[in-house]
Amino acid sequence: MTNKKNLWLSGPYLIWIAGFIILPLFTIVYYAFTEKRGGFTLENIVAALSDTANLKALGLTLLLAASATLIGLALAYPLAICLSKLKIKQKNFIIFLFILPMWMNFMLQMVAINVILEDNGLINSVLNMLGLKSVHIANTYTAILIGMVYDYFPFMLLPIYNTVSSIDKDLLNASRDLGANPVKTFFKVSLPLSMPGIISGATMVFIPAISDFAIAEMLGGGKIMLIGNVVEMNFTKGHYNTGSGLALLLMVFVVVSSLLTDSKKEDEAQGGIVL
Amino acid sequence: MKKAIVSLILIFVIIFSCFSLASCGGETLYLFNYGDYISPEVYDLFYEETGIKVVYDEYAAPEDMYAKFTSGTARYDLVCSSDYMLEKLIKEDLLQEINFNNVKNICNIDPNQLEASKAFDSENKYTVPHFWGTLGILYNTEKVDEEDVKSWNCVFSDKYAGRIIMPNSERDAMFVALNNLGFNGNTTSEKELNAAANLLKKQKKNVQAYLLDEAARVKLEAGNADIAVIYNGEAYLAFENNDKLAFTIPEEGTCMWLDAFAIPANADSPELAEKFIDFLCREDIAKINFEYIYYSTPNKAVVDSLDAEILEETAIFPNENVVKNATVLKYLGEEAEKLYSKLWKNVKA
Amino acid sequence: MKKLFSALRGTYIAIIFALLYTPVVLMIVLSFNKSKSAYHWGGFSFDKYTALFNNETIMNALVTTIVLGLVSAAIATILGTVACIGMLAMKKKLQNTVKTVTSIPLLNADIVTGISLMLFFAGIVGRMSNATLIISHITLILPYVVLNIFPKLKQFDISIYQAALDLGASPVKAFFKVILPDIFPGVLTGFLLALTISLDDFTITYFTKGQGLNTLSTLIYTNRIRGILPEYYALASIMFIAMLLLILVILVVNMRSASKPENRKENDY
Repeated sequence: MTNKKNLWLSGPYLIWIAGFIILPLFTIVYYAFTEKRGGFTLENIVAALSDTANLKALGLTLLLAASATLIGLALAYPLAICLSKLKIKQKNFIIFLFILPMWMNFMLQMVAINVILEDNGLINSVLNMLGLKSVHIANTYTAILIGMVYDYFPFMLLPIYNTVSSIDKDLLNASRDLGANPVKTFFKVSLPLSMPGIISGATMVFIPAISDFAIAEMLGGGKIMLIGNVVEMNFTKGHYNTGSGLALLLMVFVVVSSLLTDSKKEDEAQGGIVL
Repeated sequence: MKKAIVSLILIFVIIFSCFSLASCGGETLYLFNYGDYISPEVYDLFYEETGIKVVYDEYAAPEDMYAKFTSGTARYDLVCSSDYMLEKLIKEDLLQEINFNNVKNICNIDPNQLEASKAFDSENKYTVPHFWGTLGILYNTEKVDEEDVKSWNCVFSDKYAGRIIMPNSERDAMFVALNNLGFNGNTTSEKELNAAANLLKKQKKNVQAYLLDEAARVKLEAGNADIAVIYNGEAYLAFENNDKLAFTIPEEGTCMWLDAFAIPANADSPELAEKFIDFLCREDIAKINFEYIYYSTPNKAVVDSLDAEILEETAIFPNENVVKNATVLKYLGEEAEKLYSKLWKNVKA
Repeated sequence: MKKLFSALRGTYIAIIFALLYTPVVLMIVLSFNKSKSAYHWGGFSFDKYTALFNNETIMNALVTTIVLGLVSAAIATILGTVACIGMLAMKKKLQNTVKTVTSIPLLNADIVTGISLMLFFAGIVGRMSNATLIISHITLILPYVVLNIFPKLKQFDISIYQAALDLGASPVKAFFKVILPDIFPGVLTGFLLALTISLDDFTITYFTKGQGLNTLSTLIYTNRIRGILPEYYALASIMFIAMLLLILVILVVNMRSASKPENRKENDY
């Protein structure tokens, strides 16, 4: 089967990815470096970088995305450890239950979260019932943060769980036998060994989070603009060149963040995408 | 092996053609409209009578419509938009003249409204009015002092911080700020516009959300906000759903808008569009639409058939005085428009 | 002590589980709420389900979403499976390059992928249409197909295939009789995964759909200005149950293939 005769079978596929992955990316590059009439210009990139509104949006986006990543990590890592120590037969099924809410349809999730966070929503109803003061979360940064953490949680959990559960028990035992206390064992053995999973989980949350515009639009009440919203707005308002300049910038961020974490990525990413 | 290639190609062709056929059997009219602006029942009736299927896309703000409209990535046979945007489209030669021989029911439209629409369509050649109205304040009578809403000041003070909904549309939001500062709503002076934008920016911390139409209304109905700058048409439905709500137009005056249908210059089938416009102007159809959203209808035949009780509802049909003093938003030219979107982006970012 | 830790772990798992399922359960509970408002319980009823099935716009969008998902997943699976066989014959380096390019839509920001496709199509054909939408979806889901099938194919024992050829089977016949049954779990997983990705997609669809067409995601997004429609509660409940079933199928397929001894080493779940 590895014989060269079969090589042509990948032909249609190669044409496909060349035509619909590579060429479109070059189209963005083309638009980013041209003006409306087609001449070369750097203005789009300069404008993207010098507009204070853009920079503000970018800063806010990085902040929110990083917070969402950290919160997700703080929630998912202990969960992964707890899950890996479960001693039941159908462990896969339990893991699957944790991923399931992700598939309800992204937009409907946002709708549901809105119902929870509204001033008259679930959270405040519960607070009122307990006689506590209500909190205002709807249409704030917090709302977007909650949306991000919720939506991307499975992407964080899966890779971490995969690495944590594959740590060789003998290593942990050896560490203990050699006199390390549990805390030391954790920092010297468990944590370094689960690093690949953490890194890949962080990337898989951070990248979609910095480019998202729908979450901010659905949960932010049109009040909060992330860099994704700025890009989207440029395109819906027809400023293709400026928009492409920004999109290119976004792509640079994505490439940099995935390069930073490239080393062991592929295997982990595969583990992550399977479900 | 050749068989394999052939069959693969075949599969592609079959699937692609199936899918594109599935969606377009019979005549289809592509309509680009504001959200929820025509009763779904009307589409069904139109299909029953003519066999023409209306496929529609919805947009929120006129600026979004313009971009999609001009991008070339979508083509429509009919659009519905507002005064200043229609003026812009006409100026840029993006609309075609309507053949009124095919729109006999135009006689149902109030001549006064046709006169009013000359503000943007000077010879009534390009547009047919759909609904009109004004901007006002919808508020919760239990939470908001009636004295406060007599002025636009109430949305700029800290008194109702966090309970205010502003319109998510640059011209409308800016109008409120400009009016509050005592400037004309159609000003192009950079200084005045900057001042208005700064006012909006300062106000932002008190604003709960920027929303339009139904979304703003629903917030108030559910008690999630207390005060909203909103089009008068939403008010009547709001009263029906929550009797604690009231609507008023601040004494400083307001802006008036007129939404109308127009046929894009590059429409594939203008004749279908004309048929549909004619259909919409028919008394029974216009009445279905009116009772669907309760915006002020320019259809005189419908107005004449209404009960006095509804005609006296100022939330639907504003007082003559209000109308007389209202500003009609005009197209301000490319420069001012650019400034507007820059300022608006700054407000929101 | 051990018991305490175990109890703590159980509690933590339960808390996160509850948090994750609050929105889902809330939607399901409210879908049976008679009251139109989300916040008051007005008694049990199926009104929202009736409203959903009578809402032509939402039902159309639902059908579009499903048809789009099935068609693009089917094409992607065929294209991907065939491609994987070809890729096996490549030199290692080329193979890796192809794999990297394949995973671009997976790793890249959705908005960039969506915009790049939109600009590309705008330049070539001008108008967006059903075809541009399907092509974009196929492009989006191909990596999931290829990255699922390729490892399975790599494990396949080539000597069996050679034996089939030696016994006089044509390559095509040998593929269907020998290879496909063996890699089928991978193909099916790839297909179902591709389907779920397509069903859930918003961003790519948003940028590449033609006029007048909506999937569920884009419809809800456009309707955001109208607040939360009562139909959504019923829709969410139905979608959740449907997805539960779909993913259960993936899981069962995966478990079966994992329980076969020869596949155990590559349990990618």
